[in-house]
Amino acid sequence: MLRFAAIRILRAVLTIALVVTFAFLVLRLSGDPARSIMGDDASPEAMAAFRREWGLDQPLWAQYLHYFAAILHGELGRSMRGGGPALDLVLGRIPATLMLTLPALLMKLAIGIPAGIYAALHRDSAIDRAVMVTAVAGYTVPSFVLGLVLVQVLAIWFAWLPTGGTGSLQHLILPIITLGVGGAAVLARFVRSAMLEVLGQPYIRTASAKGIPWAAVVRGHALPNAAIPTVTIVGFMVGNLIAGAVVVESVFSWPGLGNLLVVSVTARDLAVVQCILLLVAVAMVLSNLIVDFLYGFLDPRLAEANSTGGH
Amino acid sequence: MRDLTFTRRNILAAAAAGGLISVTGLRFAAAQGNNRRTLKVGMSGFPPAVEPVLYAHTATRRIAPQMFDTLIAFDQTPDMALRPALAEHWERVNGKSVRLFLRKGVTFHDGGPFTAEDVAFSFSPEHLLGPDMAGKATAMETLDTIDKVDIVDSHTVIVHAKGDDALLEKRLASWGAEIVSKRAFVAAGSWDAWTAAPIGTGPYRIVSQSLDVEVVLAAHDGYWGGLPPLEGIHFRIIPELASRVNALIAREVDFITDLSPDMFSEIEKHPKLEVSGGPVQNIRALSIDTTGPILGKVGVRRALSLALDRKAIVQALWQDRLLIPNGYQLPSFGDAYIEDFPGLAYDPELARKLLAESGYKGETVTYRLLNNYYPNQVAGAQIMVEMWRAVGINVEIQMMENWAQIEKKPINAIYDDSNTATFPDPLGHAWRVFGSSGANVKEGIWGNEEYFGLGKKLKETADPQARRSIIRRMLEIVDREDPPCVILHGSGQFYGKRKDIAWVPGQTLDLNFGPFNAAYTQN
Repeated sequence: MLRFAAIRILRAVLTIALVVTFAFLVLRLSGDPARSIMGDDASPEAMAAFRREWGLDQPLWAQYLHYFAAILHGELGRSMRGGGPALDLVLGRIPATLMLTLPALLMKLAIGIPAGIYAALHRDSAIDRAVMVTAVAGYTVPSFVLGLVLVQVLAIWFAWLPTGGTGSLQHLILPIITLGVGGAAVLARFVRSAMLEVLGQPYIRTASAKGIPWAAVVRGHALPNAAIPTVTIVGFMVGNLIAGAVVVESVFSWPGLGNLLVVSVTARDLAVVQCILLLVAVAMVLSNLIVDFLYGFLDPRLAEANSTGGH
Repeated sequence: MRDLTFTRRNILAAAAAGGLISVTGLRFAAAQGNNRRTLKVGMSGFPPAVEPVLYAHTATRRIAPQMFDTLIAFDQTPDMALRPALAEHWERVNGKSVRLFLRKGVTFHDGGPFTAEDVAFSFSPEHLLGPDMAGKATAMETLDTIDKVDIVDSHTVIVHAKGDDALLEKRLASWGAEIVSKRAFVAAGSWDAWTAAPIGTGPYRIVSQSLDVEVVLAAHDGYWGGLPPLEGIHFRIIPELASRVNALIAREVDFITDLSPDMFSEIEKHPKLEVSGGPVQNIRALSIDTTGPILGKVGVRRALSLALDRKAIVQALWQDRLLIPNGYQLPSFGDAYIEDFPGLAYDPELARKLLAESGYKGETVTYRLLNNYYPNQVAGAQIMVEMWRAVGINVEIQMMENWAQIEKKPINAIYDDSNTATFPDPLGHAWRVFGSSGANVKEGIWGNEEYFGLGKKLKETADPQARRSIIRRMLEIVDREDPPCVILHGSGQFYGKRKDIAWVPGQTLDLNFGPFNAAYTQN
């Protein structure tokens, strides 16, 4: 188990280092913060002063070494737009994002899991088909389209809800629905597939043949075994809690981390983008790590196989 | 919601404000008295700072005119005439100096008095050069000719240019020449603290700003120009255009910025909404790297321009709402505008003839293109490629991700650009790009010694007639003799707004919701 944990943690650290390096290179090579932030009408002299101030006139390798050394000292840089520490800015946006993503995650779980289980247990019934058609629709419609349709109907035609922004509980409803629908659809499809696979296993037939009531078979044998693929997808959703609302936050002008990411990428506010990507990478890696450990907990054979290099 | 219709109380308040203004010799500014409302504006981006000396960023320019005044101001009519602002009047001392008589009784947002000290500080290197005097400030682009400010008395100053400067008054009215409170700046202690809540004399003061969320202003009721017509302005940041339009339709905001032409019909469907705005002091052009073997030929460059039916483009993409200039100039340049300079010709026959004379044999001309960095950029490019094809020019579009890719050497291509007249004169416009230290010259893609010499002479020439003949020659070089660009059309700024909001657009990116907006001064 110790070896299993050590391998996972080392892999996580390497992943984060790769993400940091990749983000640094892509951002430095793909645009000029001076032009984005100073504006088109800024003089060449002002832009040159901007580049000097932020070290952008240094060679790329020097910038990279400086950046990496600073990270090791816990320094994630300052925002070129606001001037304040990038980490403070990023951490300050997380509560707003969680206000959307946590209720949306609950919505996904509350709708997706029961719908998937119900559809699997009533395979090929009208309800199964209805659930799957809805799930496919929810999965395939992009969130920005769904968001705009919801705004058109509920905010403009009926004027029940605001089109975007912040300030009241009403402002939360449309973004949460928009975020929740797609995730619930994904989860319903995963849970249904996992359940169908488990329900087709010989041990389910054996349990039924032994006269155990069907509900007990489902509770005691089917659901625990279908949990592993479900945990994978839920783990991914948990990892996405802080960065999974980029599009929705833009559509609804919600001042969360996703919105900050879009604005910062557009402005090439390097330190802020790098800080967000670092945070997202850490969140993703951590959630994957937790999922890996949960695998070991749910099925100790998996931890054993991983620690001995087996499959 | 309260509307802006006039009531007896409004009229009385307006009359009182008018009386106050007439005492100070100002133009009448209507005011709404106690029935004022807070205007909600949906804006596309958050300003990097609301200190205009630092940034000419679009978002900064939307807000700065509410908070600051210049000594002299442009009236924002198509003529861009000068009007008194913080200076009641002014007079020339000599070719390089102007004496300005400052308005008395003006107060800053914090209640402090406006004096000559504030003027001297605002034009000092400590302010103009930005943090640490490092030069990270855009104001120097127009104010770099200022040498010093002499304080004659508490309300009289003499502004000296480094050399003869016929445009000194216009410079004092341009972007970055806004006056700030010296006392408040010093009290702030740092640029960071200062830019969090800068203090000016404008009709609205800053209440709060929240990065990427909002900027909130409240009326500065002691404003020297009359009672501000609004109780406050709430600039809400809504980056997505569709979301801004939705917010306007749902009446969550009263006014939205940066409207693109494809949304005009969506706004106009609603009887209580309208599209406002129009041409601004900016020209859209295609910059040309003239150092390559094909684009180095003047005939090919002229043919690129002659092949374009600009009227058709502006009609198709801009509902005929943009200006097609006659040469690289704008009508608002006043004495410096050469009104009889020939318009941009659409002459496919001449284009073919010039191509033949240049020995052009269908070689590929590369067009480095960004994906709608400018509105309608890609659609416009596709139309132009077909127009060029019709005269035999083989232009190939290369999509680019960003400006660094566009400007990567060797360029050997054409690419889109736009250029704002920071003040209405060729020296504030064409010279910024094509001049001896202009952007195109720094890029190393164009140079013309005669043009540089003429520009130098223009800077030193005060006589209007002499200036006009220099400017005419400079226009000829850019238009025909050695074109550094293909002029496309003027740019526009368009807004969506409620019809019952009294507001008239200006000639620049600036928004003005104060008593000097033409909606009030023309009534």
